[in-house]
Amino acid sequence: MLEMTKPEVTRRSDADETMETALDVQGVEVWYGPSRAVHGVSMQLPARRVTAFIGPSGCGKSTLLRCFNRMNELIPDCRVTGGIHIHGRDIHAPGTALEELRREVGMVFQKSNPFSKTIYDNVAYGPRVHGNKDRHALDGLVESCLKRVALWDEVKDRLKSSALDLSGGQQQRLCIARALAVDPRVLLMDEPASALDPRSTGRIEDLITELRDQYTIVIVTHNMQQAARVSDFTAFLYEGHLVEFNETQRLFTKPDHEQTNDYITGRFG
Amino acid sequence: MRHSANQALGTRAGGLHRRRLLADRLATWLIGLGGLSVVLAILLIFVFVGRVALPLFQGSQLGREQSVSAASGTPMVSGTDSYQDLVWSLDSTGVLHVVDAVRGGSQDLPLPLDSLERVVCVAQEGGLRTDHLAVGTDRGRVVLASVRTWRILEAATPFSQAELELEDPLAALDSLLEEIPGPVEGLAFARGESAGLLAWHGKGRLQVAVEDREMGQWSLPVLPEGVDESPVALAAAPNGERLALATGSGQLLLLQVEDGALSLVARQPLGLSASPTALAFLVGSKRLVAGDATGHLASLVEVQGEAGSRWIAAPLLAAHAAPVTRLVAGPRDRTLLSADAGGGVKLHYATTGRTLVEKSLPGRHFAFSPRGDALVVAGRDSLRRVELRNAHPEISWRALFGSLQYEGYAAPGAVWQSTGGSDDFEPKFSLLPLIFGTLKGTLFALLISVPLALLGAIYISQFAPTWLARTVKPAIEIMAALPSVIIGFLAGLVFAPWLEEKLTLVLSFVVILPLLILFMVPVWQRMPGHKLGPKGLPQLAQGLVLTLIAFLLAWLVAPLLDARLFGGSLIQWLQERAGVVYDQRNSLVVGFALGFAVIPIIFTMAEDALGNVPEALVNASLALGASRWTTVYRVVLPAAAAGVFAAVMIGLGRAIGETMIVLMATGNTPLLDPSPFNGFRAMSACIAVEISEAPLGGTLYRVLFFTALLLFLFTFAINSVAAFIGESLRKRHGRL
Ligand SMILES: Nc1ncnc2c1ncn2[C@@H]1O[C@H](COP(=O)(O)OP(=O)(O)OP(=O)(O)O)[C@@H](O)[C@H]1O
Ligand SMILES: [Mg+2]
Repeated sequence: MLEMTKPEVTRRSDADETMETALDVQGVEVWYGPSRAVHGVSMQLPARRVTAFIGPSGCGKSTLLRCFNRMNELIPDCRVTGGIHIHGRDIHAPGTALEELRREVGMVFQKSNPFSKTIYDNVAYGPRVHGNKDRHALDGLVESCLKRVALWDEVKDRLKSSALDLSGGQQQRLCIARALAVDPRVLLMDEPASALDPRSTGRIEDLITELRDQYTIVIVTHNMQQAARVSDFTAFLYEGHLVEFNETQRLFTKPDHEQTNDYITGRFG
Repeated sequence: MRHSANQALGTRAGGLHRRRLLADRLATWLIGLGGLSVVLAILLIFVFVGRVALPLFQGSQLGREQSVSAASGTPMVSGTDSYQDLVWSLDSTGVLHVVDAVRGGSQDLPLPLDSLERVVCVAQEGGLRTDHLAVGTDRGRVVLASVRTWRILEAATPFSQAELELEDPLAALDSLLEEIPGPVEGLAFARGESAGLLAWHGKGRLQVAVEDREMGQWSLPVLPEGVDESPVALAAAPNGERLALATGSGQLLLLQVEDGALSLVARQPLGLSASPTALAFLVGSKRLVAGDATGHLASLVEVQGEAGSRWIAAPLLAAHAAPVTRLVAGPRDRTLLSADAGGGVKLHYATTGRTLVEKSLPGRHFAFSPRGDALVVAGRDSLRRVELRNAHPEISWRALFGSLQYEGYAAPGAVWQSTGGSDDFEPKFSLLPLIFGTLKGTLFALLISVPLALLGAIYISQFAPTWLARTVKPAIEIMAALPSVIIGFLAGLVFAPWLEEKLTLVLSFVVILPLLILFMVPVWQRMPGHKLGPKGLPQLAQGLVLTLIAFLLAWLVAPLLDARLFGGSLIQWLQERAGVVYDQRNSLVVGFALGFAVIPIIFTMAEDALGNVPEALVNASLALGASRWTTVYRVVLPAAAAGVFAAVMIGLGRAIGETMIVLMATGNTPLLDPSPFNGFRAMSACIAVEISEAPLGGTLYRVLFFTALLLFLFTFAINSVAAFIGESLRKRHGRL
């Protein structure tokens, strides 16, 4: 339908001395069987910045996000074409270990999904899977991850109790801590706060703001204010097409495209 | 207006509400009732089965005592007929008093003795022939007589009549007989299928006459060297083939009759400290009991030694406080009555050594009724009949769950052998071989089915492409629908012979396949471009190819192994080198067949449990960079642990209760041998095989019900444990 203009990130990055590209997406298409959910999306997501994906429901935000850690492969009949490079490495290159890729690209899901293990074991799960068996190191890691998601003070006395005893907001922060524990470079978040009350949402947003210096974060959200608050860049998707990718401030104040304007002003979607 | 409309609405809502409440209550009620009736039905079955089995453990009792006559004279021997219509005793003057217990009155039948001749001792035949008497007199004479009774059924109340039948086979031997110069001091008499034996002694002379039953001819064989001719007690075995003598010094001498000749087969101490006073063989002729002047009893049993049979001490029987005066063997089983000088009477069961009954019953002579349901006690002043409830004397916890020294066995053992060729067979009711068999069958079935079913369930639920899962699941469910008779039938008639022929092949395949997989996995992992994700056909093809290769390897290796290592045949090699006997229908066959029946149950339930693990958890794990396998055993398996465990337990329950397969695929030999190459008899199969031939209310019948009860408890316990562990697993890992 629309031939997307390449977002002009590079132009803007002249001002930023270290605007390196974390995710390089080239003409990605995703097919669910015969139907195409994502149409030729290309963009460059900058490292150590927060990028928000916005767009109406069913436009392919989650699908596109799942391409980045190849979780789409778990869905039968789902086919992904196009090139995705993460920090210069082609994630579809033959011989790529999925385990390594997913360790590098962490993911937080819409609905919190802690394992029915203890809080400690939840956070330690990833490191253990990747071969870290040293108790001391794990203890330290668990503590630092929980501190980073500001959960430590709330749970430090009951690390050995079930993660399912936590509240929804705490569970989601635990899931973020769990994702951080394997030390990823990229963090994908699919509507991480959509199931939470405003207070918990606020804490998650604060968390994202705190993490932005160390991680490349891609967040899917329906909440325009949230996108405006936490993200540096925003991509607007519509019916599987990338309509606009721009600096958040620009996109929300002076979008390049009519459609974007319509969407952010609530005229459709 | 408004007001009334509101009211109408209110009542309508109220009616609806009430109706809903009613329906709700009714549903609760019905569901509760349904659940309760199931529980009740199970309880009823339990109670019914338990009630049939219970009499086994109620022990034996002496019941009502009835004095039939105030006997005159000194009773020498007594008895009754099978209906207990008549009670008789023979006194020392040689007169048989027959008392009619039905119609009253009595009859005196005299023996043809000289006027002053007195009866001094009497011997009875054994078993059911105790009405055949040998009567010894103070003149050194022995008279054979039998109390013949018959029943008049035409009368309104049936009654019996008796006559005294005389037999004087010794007349023919008169010329041979060396007179005993004085009263007969001891007497023994028995007649079996082929041989009869009569022995008597007095004044230091022992006479033994043997009878050829076919010819009906008596002869007097020569006594072997060194036989003490003045024993303190003697007894003839009911089969008429052996004579036991006890000497004053407590020695036992056993004489065997063979082809009309006597030989001394054993001379050994009885194991008594005082002088023996009584000696008796039990039914079956393989147990012998002696009593002594201090009241002790010694029980001996014939066992199979390396060099023929020998007699060893059997379980101790409870001792008396006074000298033992009389030992009377029961007519049908290994029950023994012992009486002491103080009037105490005990009933023992010789096989188990258990004391069945203890009571003070003063009397001179004691006799069992032919059915073993009453005792006749003949005293100097009374002739009494005492009811005896002794239906299951052979049962004790030791008999059911321990090991006993049985007649003719080399060593004590836990044996199940409920019926035998002859009436004097010693029943063996150890449940251990049956329990063992059930557990063995279950173990083999689980060894084969649990790994296959669980790995299959894991593969299908976690790795297999959808099309494969969609084909495999119904196929396996059809497996469950296969009647177990068919599985058993195929296992016994097709698989068992095939396995016997191809044993080496099958065993080498079973060894080679896992080894090959272990070897290939690292190889594959090193191969560039391998994929660990579920990729459908290629992965499946890998498995199939591996299996095929393993089979080919086994097919190549098996003949080599047979030829080089086992000298042609593994089965022969096992038997000769390892002493392992290979039965065609063995535990391996059952393992495969029963495993085949259990696989669908475990698979289906485990697959369900694994498939129900929320995808979110799997995704969480995968997104953290865990491999598929890591995810399966760190996340999926723990989350599904309760369900998987329940699946295994249900499979276990099914294997324990399964009847047809174990019945048809094993030889049903009640062995206590863990070897995979021989058969076993499971509890369920044993019940199925034997219940139809067990006489109603008999010991076997009740023991089979008891076995059923055990089986019931087994499965009940397993299910309870399963529920308990399942619940705690669910608490630990569940809450999804
Ligand atoms: N597993 C699947 N199989 C088939 N089609 C799917 C699958 N998942 C998503 N789709 C389709 O792909 C399109 C994009 O879905 P996606 O979940 O990416 O949208 P979204 O932008 O994340 O929507 P939302 O904001 O509601 O989460 C939709 O049309 C959806 O119907
Ligand atoms: Mg979505």
